[in-house]
Amino acid sequence: MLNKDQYNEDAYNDVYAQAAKGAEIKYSTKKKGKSKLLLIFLLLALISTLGYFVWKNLSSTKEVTTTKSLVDKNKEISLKKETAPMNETEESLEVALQKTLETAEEEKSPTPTSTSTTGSTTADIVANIASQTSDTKMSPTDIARIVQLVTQQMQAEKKVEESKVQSNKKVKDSLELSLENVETDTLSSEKPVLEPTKSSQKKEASNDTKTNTYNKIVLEKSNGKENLNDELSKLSMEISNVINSDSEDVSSSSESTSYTSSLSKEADTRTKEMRYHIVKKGDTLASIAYKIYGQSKDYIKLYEANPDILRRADQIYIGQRLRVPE
Amino acid sequence: MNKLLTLSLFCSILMSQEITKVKITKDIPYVYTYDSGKKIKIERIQDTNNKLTDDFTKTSRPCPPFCIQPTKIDPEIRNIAELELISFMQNEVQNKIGLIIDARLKKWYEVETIPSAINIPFPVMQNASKDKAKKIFQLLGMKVKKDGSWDFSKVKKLVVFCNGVWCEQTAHFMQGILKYNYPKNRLSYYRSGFQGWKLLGLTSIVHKEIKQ
Repeated sequence: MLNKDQYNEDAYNDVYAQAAKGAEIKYSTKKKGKSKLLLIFLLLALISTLGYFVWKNLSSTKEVTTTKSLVDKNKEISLKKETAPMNETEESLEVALQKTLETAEEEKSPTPTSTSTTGSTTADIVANIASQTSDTKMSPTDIARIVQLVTQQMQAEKKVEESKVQSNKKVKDSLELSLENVETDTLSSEKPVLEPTKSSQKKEASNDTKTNTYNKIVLEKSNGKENLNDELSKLSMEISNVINSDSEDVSSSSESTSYTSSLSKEADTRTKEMRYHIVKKGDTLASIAYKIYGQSKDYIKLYEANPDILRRADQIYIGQRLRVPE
Repeated sequence: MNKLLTLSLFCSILMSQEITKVKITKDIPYVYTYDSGKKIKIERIQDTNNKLTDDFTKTSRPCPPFCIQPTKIDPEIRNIAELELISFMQNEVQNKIGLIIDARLKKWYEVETIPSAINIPFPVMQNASKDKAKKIFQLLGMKVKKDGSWDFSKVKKLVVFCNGVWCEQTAHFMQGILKYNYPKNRLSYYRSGFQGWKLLGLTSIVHKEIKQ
């Protein structure tokens, strides 16, 4: 005899059991998926960290390559010049010669470098070569090469001292000339750009200058006087003094006067365009606009001129530096 | 697990901060030069949504006088662009054998200019007396011979610029300097001028701030 209620209950239980099983299966899948995602994320993070360090290493290598490009260039040229394969002694001499060049290059670098790198003297080089060739007997040609190298080194050092005020380019040329049969490249634009190390550059730049969002650096003059420590500033000041010595030349020609007056208007526009206002307590765009333009509705000029700072016209913050257009 | 996640996030943030998104060229992210005795990092604006908002966005000014300039000022004067100018800064200017001349009026120069540029307004050169020109040229490396003639063999190389392709201040400057036979092979014209420089979001220098 079929008990209807019993049947229904069994059927219900079956269905419930299936549903419960399904739900369990579903739950476990979700859990696994989540852990997989986490694993993938962690892997990505690891890869990115690894990539970062690899990139850092590569960039530092690149920098070193740039600063030593002259040495590499010389090496290339000297390798080309070699017809016969080099023996061990010759190789060691080449290495020593390059070390000398590197040291001289570092001494001539436009940026200040650590003093520990400049300790290479002629005696050091000879000792270096001697240690490198200690296993083998030195032939007369080796000795001749050492003598030649020492002479070259002495000449290079002398030149380095003499040309302290001379340009980097000239130093490079003189060092190149010290190598036998090497032609110099006179196209300065093709020469590699020498950059100081990133860390020191960043520190110095951040200490010296004030940059804003428009990539403009404001060079503040201390007590109205320019920093005259460098030659460029001195020259600029001297030229400025000559220019200002008598102002009658500036406006003597009638042709240039008319052109200059048109330019002056444009220059005034430019000067007005370069104005800025620092937001104070109680300021609104409308109140600033009223102060500057005489009417509050011109706040829109301020709003449009500062798209990178202002997201909304009714939200400004104390200390914000707003560009004030004409 | 959370700590690891935080660490990885921190690493990603660090990475994003280090990379120069907008480089000068593929291989040069930025360069350094000097102005007023200070080290200046020349780079481009890193915000890829940045747009010019000042008067250098202006397309039309009355012509004359603000007319489109011919490509060449003189057949023998070399035209250069941004990369040559940056290279000039790095080599000739730093090695004291070259100068970047801002030929615009002083007002323009003071409010914003290219790093390491010095100002010789074009009217000065155009209308300079022989004596004044001599003084300026001597500062640029000109020597006076025994017979009184001027020796330009060791004068500095000059790159001259003004506001850009609509600006003839450089042309007037060149006219003035060539009057005294300054060697043409020592002159270069950066035709894109300051507008071209700004358009690329390159670092500029403000010598005089205008506070409202």
